Amino acid sequence: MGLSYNVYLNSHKIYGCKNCKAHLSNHEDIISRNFRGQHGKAYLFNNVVNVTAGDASERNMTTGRHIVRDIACRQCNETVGWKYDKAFEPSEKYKEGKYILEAELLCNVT
Amino acid sequence: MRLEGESSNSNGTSRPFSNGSGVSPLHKAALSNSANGTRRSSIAMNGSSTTNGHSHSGGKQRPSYFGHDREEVTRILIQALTDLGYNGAAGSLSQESGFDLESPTVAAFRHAVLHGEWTEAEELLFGGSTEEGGVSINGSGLVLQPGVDKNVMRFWLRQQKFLELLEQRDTGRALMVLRSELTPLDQDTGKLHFLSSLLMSQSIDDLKAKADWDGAEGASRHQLLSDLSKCISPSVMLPEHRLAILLQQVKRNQISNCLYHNTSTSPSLYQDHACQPDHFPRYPAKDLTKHTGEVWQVQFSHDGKRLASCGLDGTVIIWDVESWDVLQSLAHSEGGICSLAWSPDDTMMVTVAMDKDAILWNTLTGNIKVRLPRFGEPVSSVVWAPDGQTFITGCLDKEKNLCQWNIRGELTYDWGRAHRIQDLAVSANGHFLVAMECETHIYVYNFVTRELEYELDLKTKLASVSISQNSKYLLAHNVAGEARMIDLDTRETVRMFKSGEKAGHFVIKAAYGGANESFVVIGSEDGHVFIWHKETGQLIEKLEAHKGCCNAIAWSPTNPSLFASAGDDHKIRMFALPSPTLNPQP
Repeated sequence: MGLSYNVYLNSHKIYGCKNCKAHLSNHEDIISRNFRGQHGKAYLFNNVVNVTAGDASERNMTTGRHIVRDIACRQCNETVGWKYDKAFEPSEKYKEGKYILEAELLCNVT
Repeated sequence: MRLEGESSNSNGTSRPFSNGSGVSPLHKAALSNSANGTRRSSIAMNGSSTTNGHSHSGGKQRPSYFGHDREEVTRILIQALTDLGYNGAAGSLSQESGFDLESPTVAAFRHAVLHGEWTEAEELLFGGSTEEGGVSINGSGLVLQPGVDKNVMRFWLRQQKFLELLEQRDTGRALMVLRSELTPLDQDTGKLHFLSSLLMSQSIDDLKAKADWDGAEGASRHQLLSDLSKCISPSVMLPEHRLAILLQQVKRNQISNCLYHNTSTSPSLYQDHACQPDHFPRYPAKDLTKHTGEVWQVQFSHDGKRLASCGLDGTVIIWDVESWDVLQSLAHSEGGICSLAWSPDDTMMVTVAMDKDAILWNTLTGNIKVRLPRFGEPVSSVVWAPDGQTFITGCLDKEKNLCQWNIRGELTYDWGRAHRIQDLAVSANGHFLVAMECETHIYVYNFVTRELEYELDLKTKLASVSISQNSKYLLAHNVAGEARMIDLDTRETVRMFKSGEKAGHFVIKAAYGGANESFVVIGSEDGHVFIWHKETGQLIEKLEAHKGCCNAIAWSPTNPSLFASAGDDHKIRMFALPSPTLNPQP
């Protein structure tokens, strides 16, 4: 749909898609490193760019019921993590609107 | 019959003129006649009654010319007749009306300057005393414009005298002029030093070259007269070609008010100019559908005979404008071609793509001339230098983002800054290179010296930049459908064009269009083409063009009634004038 370019980030440590090196997020945007995904370690990020979100689905995770949608790199369409739309437990509300990127699917882009 | 009517008026009501009440009957009589240019002379023509009254005309109250001062209009007409070469007519108009184009003092001053009688010229200009007086024949000088520095004028006169003496190789007298007349004026000492250095010049030609002066026989005396006349009050000495200047202003005014104005011919003076919407290309004439992917860019060749288009399907198609045949189909890449640029002579083209490649093609054979070394990120834009020997690529990488290459594919210059370039524009006169970064900044470089002149932060995510053909205005377009026109020299935003559409994400290229580039054309994300009148900022047309984004629009450089728009629906739509033979495509 139209011509559009990737967003480019500006910081010292940038995480990118392991497959195509598209910029995804800054190291400074990490909120927590205490997450686990299907591929192992995962981080919670404040803001992520160059991703397309899939459909929302309700999932039961170790921390409770959530509504999440999978996110994929816009350039190569590889899934890189997911995004929290809604958390049903009050203690998990801080995750709403934030993104999880799986460490296994990321690489460092300098 | 008209004359008889006039004569009865003037015989019956000639006295009431001076009472002031006679103005209206004559005025009405004048209004009842269609303006034919001879009305004034017809009043005077009626035999001896008015010519005898001529000598009293100075005291008599004569009606104004439709609200304009009679003296001003007559003197301007006398000047125009003289300019046109009708000296006899000018003379008789001057006699009949009793107004002179120039008072005897001014005429004498003009004569003195043109014949090199400098002392007399100075006396006539400034008079015997240093006060400014009115025009009179006993030498109190001419009325000058307010705020004019008399010493500057004296300096010009004496400088011309000095240069002419040098031309005659009379260095002794020239030196005296320099010492006794130029120096005491306390003007720019640098200039004085320059003039004294001219004393050393070896020959007359050397003198002329150094001083940029073409001699007493050349245009220098007329130029001097011109410069001096600009300092003299305009009511005393009319600015040159005053009628022509006024008519040009009228034409410019009419053109700038004409919304659909799309021709470069000068409008006729016989009527008020207003273009009809029917002469504007607003009808879809043809859809070109050979692309198999979104079309991102269209460009006409500089001679207007070919059209090139490129997009997501990775091929560039070159069409013939007359027959719409496909002349060439250049397969570049799989990733989508971001932009293309015709060389100024249309024999070559550079295409740049998402797969980080840039290729130089021969447009006549369709063969690749040079493939540039791979970049690190998508190459977003390319422009040619006006001389056609080099082109500039803009890339989204941190390195090699702004590079100049020659036609053999060799890198001639890398600007070496860390800005990621999304769009480029070069001014037609070769002065400015504008590089638009992928966020909010615009960097304006001097194309010749390659130095950064200034940078602008427009605070909104930008989509494209474009420079007008007169190299004065930059059109910067952001993703929210707003464009602003910036004056490149003063850096001020001159005008904003808003389409009122909601903010989007896609790169849509904005451009100037129309004969004389009188329109700003921008596509929108919902498939419309917006056309604004450049001078007034008014939206003229909103045309339906595509389903999906309208990505780029190109206006034919040779045919003002044709433009093309490229869209996400894989089509290129040509807009032209309505024609009974063409079936407009739905």
